Order: sequence, then C-alpha cells, then structure tokens
Amino acid sequence: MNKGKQISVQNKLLLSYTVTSLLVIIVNIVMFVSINNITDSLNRAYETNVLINVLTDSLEMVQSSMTEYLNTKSSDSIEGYYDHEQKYRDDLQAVIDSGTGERLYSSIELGGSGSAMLEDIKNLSETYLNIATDTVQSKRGRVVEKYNVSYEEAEEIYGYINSYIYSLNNEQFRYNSENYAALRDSLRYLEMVTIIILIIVAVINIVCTTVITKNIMDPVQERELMMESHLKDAELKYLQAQINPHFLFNTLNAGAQLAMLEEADRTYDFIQNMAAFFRYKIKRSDQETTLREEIGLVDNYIYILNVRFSGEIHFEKDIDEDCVNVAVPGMILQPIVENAVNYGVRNIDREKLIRLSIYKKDGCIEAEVTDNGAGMSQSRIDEVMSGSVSENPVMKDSNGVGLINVISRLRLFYDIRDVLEIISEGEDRGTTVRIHIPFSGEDD
Amino acid sequence: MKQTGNRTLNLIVIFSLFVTVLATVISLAFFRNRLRTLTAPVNGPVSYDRHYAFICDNPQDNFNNAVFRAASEEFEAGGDYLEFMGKNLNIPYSRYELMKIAINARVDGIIVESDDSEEMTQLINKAAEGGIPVITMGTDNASSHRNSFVGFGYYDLGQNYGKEILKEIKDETQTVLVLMRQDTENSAQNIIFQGIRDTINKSESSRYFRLRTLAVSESSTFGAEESISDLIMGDEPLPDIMICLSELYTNCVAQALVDYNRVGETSVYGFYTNRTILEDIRKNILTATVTVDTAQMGRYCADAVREYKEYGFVNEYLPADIKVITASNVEHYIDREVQGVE
Repeated sequence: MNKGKQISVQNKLLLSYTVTSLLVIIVNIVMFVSINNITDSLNRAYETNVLINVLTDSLEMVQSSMTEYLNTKSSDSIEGYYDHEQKYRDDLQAVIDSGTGERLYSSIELGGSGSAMLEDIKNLSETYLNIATDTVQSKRGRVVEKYNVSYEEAEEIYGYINSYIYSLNNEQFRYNSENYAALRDSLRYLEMVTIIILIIVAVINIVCTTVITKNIMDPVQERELMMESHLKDAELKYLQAQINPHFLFNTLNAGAQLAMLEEADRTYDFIQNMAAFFRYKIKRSDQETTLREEIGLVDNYIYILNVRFSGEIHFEKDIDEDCVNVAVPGMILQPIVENAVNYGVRNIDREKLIRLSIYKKDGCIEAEVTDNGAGMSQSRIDEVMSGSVSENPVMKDSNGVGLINVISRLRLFYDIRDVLEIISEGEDRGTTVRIHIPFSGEDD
Repeated sequence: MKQTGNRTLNLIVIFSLFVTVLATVISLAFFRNRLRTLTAPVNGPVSYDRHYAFICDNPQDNFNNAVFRAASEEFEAGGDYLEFMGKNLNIPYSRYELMKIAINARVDGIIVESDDSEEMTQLINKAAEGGIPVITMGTDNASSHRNSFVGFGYYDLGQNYGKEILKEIKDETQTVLVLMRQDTENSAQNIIFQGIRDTINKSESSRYFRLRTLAVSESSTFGAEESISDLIMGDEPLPDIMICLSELYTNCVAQALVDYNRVGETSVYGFYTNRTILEDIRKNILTATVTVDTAQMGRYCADAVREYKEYGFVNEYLPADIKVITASNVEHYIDREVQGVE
C-alpha cells in the first residue's frame, strides 16, 4: 500500500510535469510554424518583386536593342534584339509562373487589382512584342513609313507597360508593408500568449507540487507518527525505571522462595504479587493487551499497597465479564488507579474507597475508576485534559506513567478526542476517571 | 480519508490541466485566425472568369466611383473582375490613353465615360474591331460603334431643373444662372440647358425668368474653384437662382456662399449627392440637388456588357432614374448615407 501510493504520487508529478511541458513545446512549435509561414509568404511576395524588377530591365533591353537596330541596322543589334525578346518572354513567363501560370493569377500574393494588372502587363507585352517584331521586319524590308508608325506605337505601349510594372511594384510593396505590420502584430500577440501559458503552467506546477506533498503528510500518517513518538517517550521513562524492576523481579523471586521455605504464606503471596506486577510492567509497557490483564495488574497493585498500608484501601470491583477480552493499549488502568491512590485517597482520614467498574454503555465499554478522596477542581481537570500540567516523570511513590501520558496514548490509539473523561464534584468529593473504549461487539 | 484526498488531488490536477489545454487551444486558434485576417491584403486575392475595364475622365469623382462600385459588385457576383483603369497607376493617363491600354491589354469589355470627340469615336471603333464590347456611360458617343449607352436623359434632367425653378415664381423677374463647363466636346450640358429652357419657356410664367449661362473656366488645375469664388466674391448682386451642372461646382458654390457670408441671397440647385451636399441642403445653403441613381447605372453597365457577351446584342440606351432631393426629403437620404447605402 505504501509503495503503491509512492508510485502514484510519482506518476502524478510526472504526469503534471509532462503535460505542462508538452503544452509549452506545442505552443512553441505552433509559434515557429506560424512565423515560418508568414516569412515564407513574405519571401514569395518579395520574390515576385524581384522578378518584376528583372522584367523591367529586360523590357528596357528589348526597347533599346530595337531602337539601336532601327538606328544602325547592324547584324549585332538584330541578334541582340532577338535575344532580348526571348529573354523578356521568359522573364514574363517566370512572373506569371510565380502565380498559377494560367490566365488567373489569384495565387500570386496580390490583391484583386494586382492580379488584373499582371494580366494587363502580360497582354500589353504580347501586343508590344508583336508590334516591335513588325517594326524590325519593316525596317529589314525598308518599308520606311510603316516602321516609323509602328515604332511610335511600340514606344507608346512600352511606356504603358513600364508604368504598369512600376505601379504593380508599388502595389506589391504596399501589400508587403501590410504583411509586415501584420507579422509584427502577430508576433506581439504570440509573445503574450506564450508568456501567459508559461505563467499558467508554472502556477499549475506549483499547485500540483504543493497538493501532492501535502497529501504525503496526510492526517492518518501524522497520527501514526505521533503515536510512535509517544510510545518512544513512554519507553524512555520505563528504561529509567527498568533497572529496578529487573533487579527487583529476580530478588523478589528469591524472596518468594525463601518465604515458601519458611512457610510464611502471606509473605509469599505478597512477594508473588510484587513479582507479577513488575513482570507485567516489563512485558506490557509498549504493546496491546486485554482488559483482563489490565485488571489483573490493578489487583496486584492494590494487594501490594494494602500490605504497605495495612489494608486501609477498600477496593471494589464491578466487572462485566463480557467486556474483559477487548484489546486495549497496555498500562492504562494501573496508572489511573495509582493516581487515585496518590492524589485521591492517600491523605483522607475517612475510609479510603476505590472502585473499578467495567460495563457496556451505548456501544462502548466503559472502564471507570472512582475514589472517594480529595477530588479535583474543574480548572485542574481542564489542565490535565489539555495536557498543560507538567508531570514529574518519576515521582516519589510513582511507577512513572502519568495520567497525561495515558490520555495521549488512548487518544492516539482510538483517534477519539473524548476517549477519557474526569469527573469530580469538587474538593473532597472524590473523583471518577472514565475511559470510553470503542467496542465493535466482537472480542479479539 | 486518504482516498478522498487522492480524489481531490486528481480532480485538481485534471481540472487545471484541462483548463490550461483549453486556454492554449483557444488562444492558439484565435491567434491563427487573427494571423489569417491580418495577412490577407485589404483587397484580397480574387479569381475571376472575365476581366473588364472601367474608364472615366476623373477617377476621383464621387459620381464615377459610385457607378464603379455598383458595377464592380455586380461583376463580382457573377465571378468577373472590373478594373478601374488608371486608379493604381503612377501616371495620370487621359481616358484616351486608358482606352488604348485597355484595347492593347485585350480586356473582355470596356465601360467608358465617353465624349463626343473624334478621337474617342476612333478608339471605340478600334475596340469594337478587336471584338471588345464597349458600353458608354454617363456621356454618349453616338457616332461610334459602341454597343450600348447607360446614362440618364439629359433633357429629362434639364426638365427636372426647370420644374423646380418654376416653383420659385415671384412677382418680379428673376435671373437664372446656369454654370456650365467651358468644354465644347461635351454636348450633354447643352442638352440639359435645352431641357431647362424649354420647360420654362413652355410654362405660362416664363416671363418671370431670365436664363443666363456662365462658362466656368477650368484652364488651370483648380480653376473651377477660383472662377466660382470670383463670381460669389464680386460686388455685383448674385443671380436669384443658380444651377450647377456638376458635383464640383455644387460644392464650390456652397462653400463660397458660406465663406463670403452670402447664404440666402440666391437659390442654388446642385447636381449629384454626397455627404456635404446633403448637409448643405439640410442647412438651407442649397435649395435642392438633382441626382441620378448611380447604383442603378452601375448595374445597367454590368448587365449591358454581360448581355452583349451572352446574346450578341443589347439595348442601345439604358436610362437611369433621376431624383430630386430637397429639404423636405433630405433626411431620408442622409440616413441612407449614414447606413452606407448608396
């Protein structure tokens, strides 16, 4: 269970980091692809610009070589004319091919007017080239009047084409400027989106980490840890007391044997009780036991005390035998009884009475220790219940386990705040300590 | 208890991741959409079946632009493209030169604001020889081989002015001054004047009106404005009624009357509508304006070219409606102008 949970926490952390990292990567990829697309389309547009400029140059070459031929009629110039004419046709085709190459130039990155202008340029150029060729032919055939007229006509159309190309370049430039502004705006927007997403991802990561680490220290685990620490605390106290029990236990056994040999039966009983008491203490201090064994310990304890105090403590028991097999934490009843003796009945002059009752009530087993001793004020009860009273761990006449330690262990063991209650009607009116042991109805 | 904690954690993680993914997808989608709209040029790439040319004398003229817009929309709806020749060019070509360009560029049809000149007749005939249908718009060239004329009855227009002027009748004789272009090639304004004169002369109250004409000199670039300012600024009393036969004259006269503080001294009848003219009518600076349904003209132009292309013949004359706008109905036209309706 513990291992399984660790893996799931690890997986959760991994999942949250993977998904958020993926998001960041996706955002970046989309950003780069978008920028590439924009740059590509700008590049294409500029490509058309370059092609158009080349077109202007080659048109000029056609016109100048034609003029040169008309002037000189040299064979060089006629060759030049045909070369330039061919080059112009090729360049024109290149411009058109940068679109669809068909009549419609819609895929060229131009507006509607740009598309129409390009078509005009193409058709004007064809007319121009036809007239120019006519002019050259007429010059060859020496038809003076005709080549003069068609030269003028060609020159006029040449002017129109130049004007169109120039204007198309302008249109193209305007379009590119629009695109540039758009690119700038888009990049700014993208920047914002990326930053916001990164912030969100960071916040999610922080939240996830906080929640997950908090979850590792959940209340149940925390309670177990505290219970352990209290037990350690109790163990430490017993270690201090353990030197005596071990030594005493062995010594007492020797004493018991001696008493038996001397046929001192009461001494034997006394020593046996003491031995049982200390044996229990060594054995049960840090583990679960049953109510029956706890009651046995109380019996040993009272016997020893009554030998010490000449039987002046009257101890009564009212035990429901159905309840005694229930599991309880060790060392809970004896410290309460010891408390009742030390603080309750020890200093009273009247008859000293201690009563232990075990009975069922409202689905709980109630273990109740009542004395008729000095009693407690409500403020004192509150102090004890809240644990604010400092206790001397190894008091005179005490075996070392205080009431507060019992309360803490009971609370941790059953995870119930009101597992123990102290009732006293006031000074000199006795005290009742009652433990509510949750009881499922089945004995262990 | 531990399970509840785990469930809450799972829910938080899943929910926040879901929100982030959603936010990312939405913002990226919005980004791409934005990119698309931004990179598209203002007049986005178009594909068209046929390519027609629109040629007019003054590409800045509102009247011509309104006709062009309507015709262009009509062509666009049919998948064709109408190019406003000369509008995107760096050199201000004359309409004769633009005709030559259109013919040599072998467009599929020409809509031209013509005139009566011989040069125009020859160009139209050359286009017709090359199989390019020509529709004259606004001003006709009847002697050419143009296929159709889309315009308005100039005589009708004159009659409309005449009828409006007759409403101004007073006990004394009033002078009516018609501002005309100093342009001998344009017979249209003569026909309009004839319409005005005939309407007044035929009425019983003709003796109360004395018709005069004034040729506005346009010898220099901004000559019209100067000539009109001179007229209004002068010390002589203004004519009782003025008729402006162009949008430009109308605007100039209204502005000059305001500038020289002579509003109310004369009733001004304008031509065509634009926002300023409509506002001037509302403020009673202008009495009325006579205008032509330009949207209708545009549609007629497009229809005429298409019909000729399809059937090989078309009506010789397609007249557009003439409207008179006065202070009583000007609000209606201002509302339409505000809503962007022609």
